[in-house]
Formats: sequence, C-alpha cells, structure tokens
Amino acid sequence: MSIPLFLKDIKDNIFLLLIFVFLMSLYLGVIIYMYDPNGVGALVDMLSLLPVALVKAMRLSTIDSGLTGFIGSLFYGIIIYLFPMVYCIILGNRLVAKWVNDGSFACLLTTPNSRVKIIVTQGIYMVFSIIVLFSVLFLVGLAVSGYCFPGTLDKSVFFELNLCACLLTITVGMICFFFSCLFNDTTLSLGFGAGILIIFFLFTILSGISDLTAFLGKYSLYNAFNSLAIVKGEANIVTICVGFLTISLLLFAAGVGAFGIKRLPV
Amino acid sequence: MIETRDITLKYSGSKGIFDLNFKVEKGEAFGYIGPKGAGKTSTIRVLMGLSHSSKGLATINGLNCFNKAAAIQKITGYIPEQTSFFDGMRVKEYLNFISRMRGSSGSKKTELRDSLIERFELETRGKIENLSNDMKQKLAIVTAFMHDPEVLILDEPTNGLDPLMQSRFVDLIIEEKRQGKTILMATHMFENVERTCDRVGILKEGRIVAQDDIIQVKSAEIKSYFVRFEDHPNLEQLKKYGFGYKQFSEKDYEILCQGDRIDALVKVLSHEKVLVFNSNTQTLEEIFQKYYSKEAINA
Repeated sequence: MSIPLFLKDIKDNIFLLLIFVFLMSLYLGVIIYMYDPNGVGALVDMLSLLPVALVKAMRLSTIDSGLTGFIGSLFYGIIIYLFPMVYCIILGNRLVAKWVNDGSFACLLTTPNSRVKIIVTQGIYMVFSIIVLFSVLFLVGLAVSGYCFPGTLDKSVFFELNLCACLLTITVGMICFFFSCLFNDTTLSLGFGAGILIIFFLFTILSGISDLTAFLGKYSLYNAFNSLAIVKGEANIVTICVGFLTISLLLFAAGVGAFGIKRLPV
Repeated sequence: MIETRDITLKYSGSKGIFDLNFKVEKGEAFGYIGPKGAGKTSTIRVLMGLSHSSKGLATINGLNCFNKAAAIQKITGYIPEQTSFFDGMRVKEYLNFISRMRGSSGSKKTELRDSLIERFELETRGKIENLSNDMKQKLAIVTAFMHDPEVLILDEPTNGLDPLMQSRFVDLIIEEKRQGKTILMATHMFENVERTCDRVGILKEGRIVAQDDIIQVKSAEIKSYFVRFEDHPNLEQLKKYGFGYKQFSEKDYEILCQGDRIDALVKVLSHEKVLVFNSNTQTLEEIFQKYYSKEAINA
C-alpha cells in the first residue's frame, strides 16, 4: 500500500464521504427520533393506507415494536441498500476507471510503485471509507437513542446490524471496484457496476411482493442481509459475515489481478 | 541498458509494431524517429510497462519492462507523449505528490527540482488544468528530470514548446548526456535528435528501416533551403555539383542538398550574391526520402 496515494484518496474523496455520512446520519437520527415507545400503532395505521404490495416491497409488512426492530425495519430495510449503493458506484468509478479513462493514471505509474500496489491502495481506501461510514452510523445510533430513549436500544443487536450492513456494503463496493479495474472506460465501469447492483436491488424488491416472484430473491446479493432476521436473532451472523467477506476478497483479488495484466490506454 | 528483442504489438488493421530490435548502451543517446503513427509511442508504452508486447522481450537495465516496471521507474525519467494530470491539483502540490510517491524528498532533490523550474520558467502557482499546453509540457519535463534519473525515455519531449524552450531543452539533454545518462528520444522532428543523439533508429509503419550513427544518417538527409539571389544564379554550377533545385520565380529557388554536402553548397553559393538563405521546415518523409518514398515501401 502506498501512503501518499492513500492520503490523496482521502483528500479527493472526503467530501463525497462526508455527504453520505451526513445524509445517512440525519436519516437515522430522524427515524430514531420518530420512534414512539408506546407502540407503533400510528405507523401501522398509516402503512395500512398504502397498497399491500408496496408495503411488502418496502419491507415494512412486519414492524417490530421495540426500538431496535423499528430501526431495523425503517433504516436497515431499504435505505441501507440505496444510499450505500450510490456511494459505492460513485466511489468505485472515481478510484480507478476515472483516472485510467482520463489518462492521469500514467502519472502514478511513472513512480516506482507497481500497478498492484497502486490498485491495492485504491481498494483499501474503498473498504476503509465504508468502515468509517458505518462506524459513524453506529455511534450516531447509540448517541441519539441514548439521548431520546435511554436504555431502550439493544446495543449488541444494533452492532450486528451495522456489522452485517457494513460487510454487505463492502461487497457492493467491491463489485463496483472490480468493474472499475476491469474496464478502461468509465461508461462501461459505471454501466456494469451500477447495472448489476440495480438488478440485485430490483430482485430484492420484487421478491417481497408476492410468492410468484419470491424466487428472484435467491439471485440477489441484497437478500443475504435481512435486518428483521437479525433483530429477531434468527440470522446466522457468522455465516453472513464470512460469506460477504469471501465474496469481497474474491472480487478484490479478481480486480487487482485483471488490472495487473491488462493493457492500459494511458 | 535499453534493449528490445523482436517485440511485436499488433493493433486492429495493419497498425502496430513488428519485430523491433534495438539496443541503447549505457551513456548513449538514441534518437527514435518516425512520422506520426509509425509506432514510436507504442514502443515506449511497452518499455514503460503500460502495454505488454504479444511477442518478444523488452528490458531496461536487464529488468523485464512489464513485470519489473516499478523497479525500472526508480531509475527512469519518462515524458509521455501527452500527459494528463490529476484534476484540481496545483502545480506545487503535484510535484510534491510525485516526489512522495517516489519516496524522495531530500533537500538535494528539491534543489534540482527548483533549478529545473527556474530553467524552464515553469509557473508553479495555480491549478494544473488552467495551465497552457506548453506549461503542461514544461511540468512534464520537470517531473521527469527532478529525481535525477539514470535513464531517460522521452516521447516527443519538445511538443508545444516555443523555440527558446526547445533549445533550453536540447541544452539540458546535452548536459545529461555528459553525465553519462542513457537517453531514448522519440520524435518526428529530426532537428531534435541532430544535436543530441549519437545513434538513430528510423521507424516506418511499425518497423525499423534504418539504424545507424548520426553521421551516417545525416548523409541520407536531404535538406531544403529557400534562396533568393540578387541576379540570375549560375544554374550550371548547381547542376554540376549535383544539387537539385526548384525555381519559384526568376530569383527565388528551393535548393535541395544532402546532409553531408552542405559545405559544397556553401562553396557554390559563395560565387553568387545571396539575399535570403532560409532552411525550410521539412517533414521526416521529405528529409528521408530514401527510407520513406513509395518505392522504399516495396523494397
């Protein structure tokens, strides 16, 4: 890993990270603030006005009455797919394909650093920034809950939610990173990275709507993260984490490998 | 120091480089000349490890150019044909960044860098994207030379520089050569290598058509001069000594002269009253008709 390059990555992308940290923290904070310890009746009433399929698609058909479950449904249900997806698509492209596409990657290769070292640095920044994002979310969650509803949040479950969501996002990030390494063209890098993630997302949404479409869920990475199962203690956290880590590592290795041998147009 | 053995890299169509063999010894300056699209940059991209050749082997200092690119960069300075810099970076910031990436930031290195900045009158304030093209080229030159590399790989290094800066660049190359640096300079302008290089390789459509020392190559050169005489010149004399010429008007001529016969031309012209004597800017194909004419393709 190259420290000067890592510092440049931080400098170049800190603004992007701050935007997402801010937006997601705000969202999480507002959701916790909205929680009513006397029951979620009002929210359930409101949701009953919406079409059943839509509620199912938004993964809100079952709402746990505890604070942790409430956060699990409303924040770690759909939001946790969408915001990080956009973040990973933008960052993945910026870290590799953008520099290859505009030719500035050549500046890095005129220094005594191998391609592998450079690209590993870029991958590490992606993982690092995602860990920062989720660490902040975890702390914001603890702080806001502790302030509004002291002693109500199940901290270990909330930690599990964040850990799994963080690893899911790292996997998502590695998908974008892989395509960013593979293609020399930002259009293709963005197209494939975003395309696959959007398909995963649609499959997850559709799989919730009816039994007929439920099979689609098997083909979506996002279905591997089920916040309600984690809240209820039904999910096997170790398996999920090991699974995400394995896929991430494979994608990372494939991205680095592909980048190491390709002809660069810079 | 720099060696290629049978390197081949094909692009779509008939473009590419084919079975290139050349060797640049330590301390030697090698001019790699050819018109645009002949394959100069492709060769350099293989040398710099940006592309791998489909056949053959390229080495610098005995190291494989693709696998050992990082080790090669340690001792190499490279000016790309066109440099794209990072968006939003300032000139000083960029130079500092590259120095840190090289792991070199000692005071001796900064001294060298500052002297280069001064020499080329590089504007160091402001963002790189706001620089003019010639400033960007100067920045590329400073970047390539600031770590005092042993080997210099230069791809059209004087691109976009004004004549004054071009001549400062030539001076720099001559100094570097005196210090024993190994230099490979790719260019489509023969005058760039004339003063600096010991040996020249002439590239045509991806193949080296001639490789010789500069004195031999100069004998194949055909120079063109625009001459205006005060009176009708003695054309018989020109013909007798074998100089070709074209007549534009009664007193304006273009005279063609082989690179090693300039002395004879001067002597012939000394009998005339010459009002204007300008050397013409020529393309490589015009200078080296011997290698680039249509007949030569079939040969």
